[in-house]
Amino acid sequence: MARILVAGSVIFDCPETRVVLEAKGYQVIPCRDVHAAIAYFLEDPPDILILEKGFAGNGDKDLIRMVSACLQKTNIPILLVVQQEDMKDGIDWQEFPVDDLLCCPVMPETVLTRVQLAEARMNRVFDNNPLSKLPGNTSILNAIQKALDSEVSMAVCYVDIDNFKPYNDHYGFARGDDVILMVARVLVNVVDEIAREHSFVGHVGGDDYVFIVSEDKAVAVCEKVLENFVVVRNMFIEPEDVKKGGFVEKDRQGRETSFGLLSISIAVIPTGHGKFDHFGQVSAAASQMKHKVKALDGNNYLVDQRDFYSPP
Amino acid sequence: MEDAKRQGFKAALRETKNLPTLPGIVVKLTRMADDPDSTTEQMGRVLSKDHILAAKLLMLVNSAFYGFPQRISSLSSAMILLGFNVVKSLIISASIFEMMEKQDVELWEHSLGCAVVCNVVAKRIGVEEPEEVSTAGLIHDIGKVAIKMELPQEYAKITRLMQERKITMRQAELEVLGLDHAEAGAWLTKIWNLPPRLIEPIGCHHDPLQAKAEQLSSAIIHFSDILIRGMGYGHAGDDKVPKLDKQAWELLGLSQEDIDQVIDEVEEKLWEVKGFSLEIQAEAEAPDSAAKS
Amino acid sequence: MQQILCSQAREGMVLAKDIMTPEGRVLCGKGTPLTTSLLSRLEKMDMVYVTVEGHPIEVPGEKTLQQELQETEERFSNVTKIAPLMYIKKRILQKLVDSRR
Repeated sequence: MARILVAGSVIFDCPETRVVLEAKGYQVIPCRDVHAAIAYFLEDPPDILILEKGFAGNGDKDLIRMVSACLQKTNIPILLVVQQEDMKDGIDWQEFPVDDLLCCPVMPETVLTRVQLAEARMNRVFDNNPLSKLPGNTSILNAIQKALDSEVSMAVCYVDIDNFKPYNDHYGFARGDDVILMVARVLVNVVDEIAREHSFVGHVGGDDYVFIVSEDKAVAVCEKVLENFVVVRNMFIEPEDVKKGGFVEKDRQGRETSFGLLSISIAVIPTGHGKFDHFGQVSAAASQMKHKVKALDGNNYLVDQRDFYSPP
Repeated sequence: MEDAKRQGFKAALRETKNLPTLPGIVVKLTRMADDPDSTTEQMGRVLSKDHILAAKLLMLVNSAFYGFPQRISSLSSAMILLGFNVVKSLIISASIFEMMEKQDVELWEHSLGCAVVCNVVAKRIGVEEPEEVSTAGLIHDIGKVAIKMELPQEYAKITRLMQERKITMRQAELEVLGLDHAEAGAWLTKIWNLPPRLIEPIGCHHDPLQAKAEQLSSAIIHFSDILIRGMGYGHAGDDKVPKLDKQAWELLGLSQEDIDQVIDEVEEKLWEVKGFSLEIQAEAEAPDSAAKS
Repeated sequence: MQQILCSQAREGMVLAKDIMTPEGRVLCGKGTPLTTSLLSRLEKMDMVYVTVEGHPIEVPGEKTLQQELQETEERFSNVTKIAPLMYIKKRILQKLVDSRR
């Protein structure tokens, strides 16, 4: 049963709205207070948010900022409820990154239809990885192309978890999933905090991720990611293995080998000005760098220093 | 005490929702959250000095929703995995004491002091993850706050009993509720999905050898609780230093020289904590401290 | 020595402890006498508290050394048979005396 959090009260000016929604199996949670709304999102997030523009003064912006910034919640459709005057004045969609609009006075059936549409669209449009909820391959390629076309000099960074396959074999897939999610969070939170502008974080699949930040922030982001990973990593490994500094598992040829603990390798490809024409070239350059950085032991990042692109 | 009554109290505790924080801490954190130059680390340093917010952070990061149930036992990891937006939201949604009493501040001081001692002792003994032990030390008395908030009548009875019969808080709790704050704390942290590495020492801090997997951590918290009470920093509810469990003491293996060093180091670190406490109390009284509206 | 808010500090008091920046560098060494210009610098840096020699500020309700010693003895009154705790008590009492000097 999908849960709808309604922040604001104007939508209930027509009391049938609630009845109509509940009749279709939605659970409606009205909320008058910003603190309560935020607490809900923290502890027990709803599936859909209906937000009144001007809710609790600036509460609407606080709530949106919180919802749209958080990794796990980017799949929650937000419907903004506005007045006629708001439409005349124009709405800044950067400030309100919402998915749909409802204009007062709203008919209950309109609310229902828009809610159902929002849900359907969410399933259609996002190629999000089901585990990390980060955008997948198509979105990543689009983002890389956008970075190439951008005025600002960007860096496309490929992240890979070393010794992930033996970790999975040793600890099982459930634990492997935990690590994938953990790295996703570390990446998103660092990029969010240090390099939010123009940034993008995507998950190719398995233990491969891509993030894009402006070139002048790339090194700072890589260093912080590695620093944070070191802090959290041991929570995902058994103490005996941490002490041993590794574990024994079969390698790809089936031979018993000892593997080091998990570490992160980042290949940084600055896109410069006109260095690359096409995202395919970026991927190719990345493969070359990845090879180099993975050969190094432990947590590392390497920046592609070449001025020009040379095909492999 | 009939089991039904005990279960009744446990059920009430289960309803524990937004435990209140000291206003000064929320004021300070709100100011930091609004400052675009503050980092997660800076906020983390303040957060790690408050037992209530620390417990909330741990509860969040260990919730099924975030995907790491029962796994995260240190505050620094929690901050890294939650990110600064979630942390800011936590601050916005924090509730504060409507009517703050001296004992609320003193319990906070006691919890913080205990965390400091745990950190010093854990490092001295050479424990693998000292931060984990000091995190448990920080929130070890969370059961007391829950009892006060969720069972106010029983809490009043407990306080009265302590004064009338000159018994410890723990003895009074057992008489009135059939359980003590250690058990309440362990029960709550279990519901909040915290890792067993934290739950056990909280539950066993008065009786460390009852612990199954975490005897050493429990012993460290047991000793730290005693030491910080002995040093007179903060107030844990009753006045007297409780008995030191002999086996726990032996498990710790501290020499006289170790004790000297520990006390010296703790005293040093407490200066900083005392300054922070002064600052927090001043924040709450400052003219521009916006009352949470 | 006494820990006080910067707003309570006055020219002539002497630092009993180093003042550190949040990053851990020493800003002002212990033994430095506080001057008006130093105090205004500290205020600009948002320093909130300092530790000074002696006991210059009278805090209402603050305990005397005698009271603190007595309270400490009282606190340990239930555990007189536990040797490590008695040793700890001794050290704590000693520290109390030292800090007031």
